[in-house]
Amino acid sequence: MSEKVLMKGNEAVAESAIRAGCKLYFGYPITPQSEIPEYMSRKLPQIPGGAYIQAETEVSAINMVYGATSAGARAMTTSSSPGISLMMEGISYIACAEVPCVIVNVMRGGPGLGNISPEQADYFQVVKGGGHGNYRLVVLAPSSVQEMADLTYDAFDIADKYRMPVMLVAEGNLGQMMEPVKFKELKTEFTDKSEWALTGTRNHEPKIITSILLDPETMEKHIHKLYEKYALIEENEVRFEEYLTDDAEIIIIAYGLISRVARSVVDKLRDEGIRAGILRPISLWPFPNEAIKSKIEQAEFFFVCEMSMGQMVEDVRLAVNGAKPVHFFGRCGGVVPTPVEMFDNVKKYL
Amino acid sequence: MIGNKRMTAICGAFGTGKTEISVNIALKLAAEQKKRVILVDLDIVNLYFRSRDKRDALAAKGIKVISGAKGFENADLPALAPEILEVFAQKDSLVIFDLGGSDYGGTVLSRFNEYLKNEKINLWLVVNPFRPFNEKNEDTVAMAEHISRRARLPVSGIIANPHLMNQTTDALIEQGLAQINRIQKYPLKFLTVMEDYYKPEMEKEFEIPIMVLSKNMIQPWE
Repeated sequence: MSEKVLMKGNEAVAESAIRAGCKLYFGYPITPQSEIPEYMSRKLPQIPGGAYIQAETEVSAINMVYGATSAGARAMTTSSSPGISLMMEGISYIACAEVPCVIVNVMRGGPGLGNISPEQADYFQVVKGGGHGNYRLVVLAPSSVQEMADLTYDAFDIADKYRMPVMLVAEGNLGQMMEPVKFKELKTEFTDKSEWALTGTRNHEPKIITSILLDPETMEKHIHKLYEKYALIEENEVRFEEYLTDDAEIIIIAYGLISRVARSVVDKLRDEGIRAGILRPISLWPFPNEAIKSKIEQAEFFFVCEMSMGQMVEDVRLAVNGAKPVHFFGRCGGVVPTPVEMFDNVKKYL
Repeated sequence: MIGNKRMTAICGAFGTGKTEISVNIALKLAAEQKKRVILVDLDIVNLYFRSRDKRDALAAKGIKVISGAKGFENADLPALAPEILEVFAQKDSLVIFDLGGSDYGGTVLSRFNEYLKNEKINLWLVVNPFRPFNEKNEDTVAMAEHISRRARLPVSGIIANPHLMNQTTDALIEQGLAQINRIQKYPLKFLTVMEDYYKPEMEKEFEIPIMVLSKNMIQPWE
C-alpha cells in the first residue's frame, strides 16, 4: 500500500535477500537475529523453488550454504557472534573453494556466551580472518535499516562478481530497531555461473569445487590467485561516507549504528565552533585506508569510537601510520555509548 | 479511555507499537491520579526495547513497573517475576499488561488465567498496517485469533497505530486508518498519533477518539 514499510533491521535483511533472488536459507535461531530465520521460514516456502531449513547447528547451516551455492544457487545464512564463531571453519572452506555466498552477523556481547546486547567486538574475527588460512571476506557495515536492506542486496552481487563469501555485520540494536524502508525490485538477471557451478554432468565434463589442494606448489598458486582477486576488490569495492569532513580538524571514525551517535556529537562540537567531522567506513574490508590518509594533513587528531575495547582502531592506526595522534573511546559488554560521554571524551583531547 | 475495566492487556504482531502504547496508557492513567498504576512487562519474547528499560523514569511518574525475574532481566529466558501476582491482590490498582509480539505474547498472559477469569480486562490489539504481517487485514485477523486462543481471552478492540516513524504524514495516517477500518471483526477503540504529528482537527476528520502519544522509548542514536 505504501512504497515504504516499517521494518526491523533483521526483517529488512530477510526481505532484501529475497528481492536479491535468494531462495535458500539455512540457519539456526539466536538472539538478536532470530527475526531473519523467522521471516525466511514464513516467506521462502511460498516462493517457487524456495526452501527454508533450520539446521541442527550453525556448523551444519554454513555447510548447507556451501553445498547450495556450489550448485549455483543464491543462498544465505545468518547468525549472531557465538554462532558465527561456529561457522568459521565452513567460511574458510567456502573462501578457498571460491563459492559466492552471503552471511549476516547481527553482533552481540562477548566473549563467551556473553549476552544478547549489542556489541562490535567481532571486528577482528570477521575482518582479520576468524577461520584459518590466507583468505579475506568482504565485510559490509550498515548504519540504518535502509542500509541493512541495500547492502544485503549488494552483498549478493559482490559475492557473485568475485566468487567469495560476503559478510554483513550489524550491532544487535540495528537488527532490532525499526525504521521506514524501501526495497529494490525483485532481481531476475544473475551472473552466469555455468563455468563452475555443479549442475550435473550431462553434456559436459565433471567440474570440481574443493578446498583441498594437497600439493604445496598448487596451493600457493591458488592462494596467489585469491590475492590477485583481493587486490582488485581493494581497488574497486571500498565504501565509506563522510560527514562535514571538508574543513574538519577532528576526524571521528566510527562504523555502524554508533556512527549516528557520533553525528550528533559532531553537530554539538560544531555548535561550539569546533571543526569536527565523521569518516564512516561502510566496507570494513576493504578498509578505506586512502580516505583516512587523505585526512592526515588537515587533522589535528583522529578519534575512533567503537562498541568494543578497540579493534578497528588498529586499522586506523595503520592507515595514519603515526603521522597524527589516534585516540580511542569504546564501551563494551553490550553498553551503547551516549552522545554526552562521547562528546566529553572528544573534548578531553582538545 | 479504559472504560470500567481494571486491567488492560496490549497485544499484537511484533513491532506494532505495543510497548510505546502501553507506556503511554500508563502515563495517562497515572496523570489522572485516581488509582495506583502498575505496568506489567510480560514480553519474554524479545529483550530489546522493552518497557522495563524505562523503569526509573516511569517510577518518577508514580508508575510501578513489574518485569522479568529479578537478576534475570537481561536473560533470554521464559521467566516471570513472582511479584506479578500482587496485581491480582491489589484490587484498587489499575494494571496494564505489555505483552510480547504475536501469539507467543498471548501464551504468557494465559498463565494468569485463573486470576483473569475474575477480572474485568480489555485485550486490545495494536495494528500498524505498514508493518510486515500486518499489511493484509486477513493476516491481522488471523493473528488476533491466534493470540486470543493462546491468551484464553477474547480480543475486545483494536488500537490503530498507522505510522512510519519520522516519515509519517497525514495522508499515510488516513490511508492506514481506512484499511484498519475495514476490519469488521473487532471494534476500533482509538487511533494513536505521535504528538509531533497530532492536529486537533484530526478527531473530527477521522471521526474517532485519538490518543496522542509521547515518545518515551528514545535511543542514544535518535
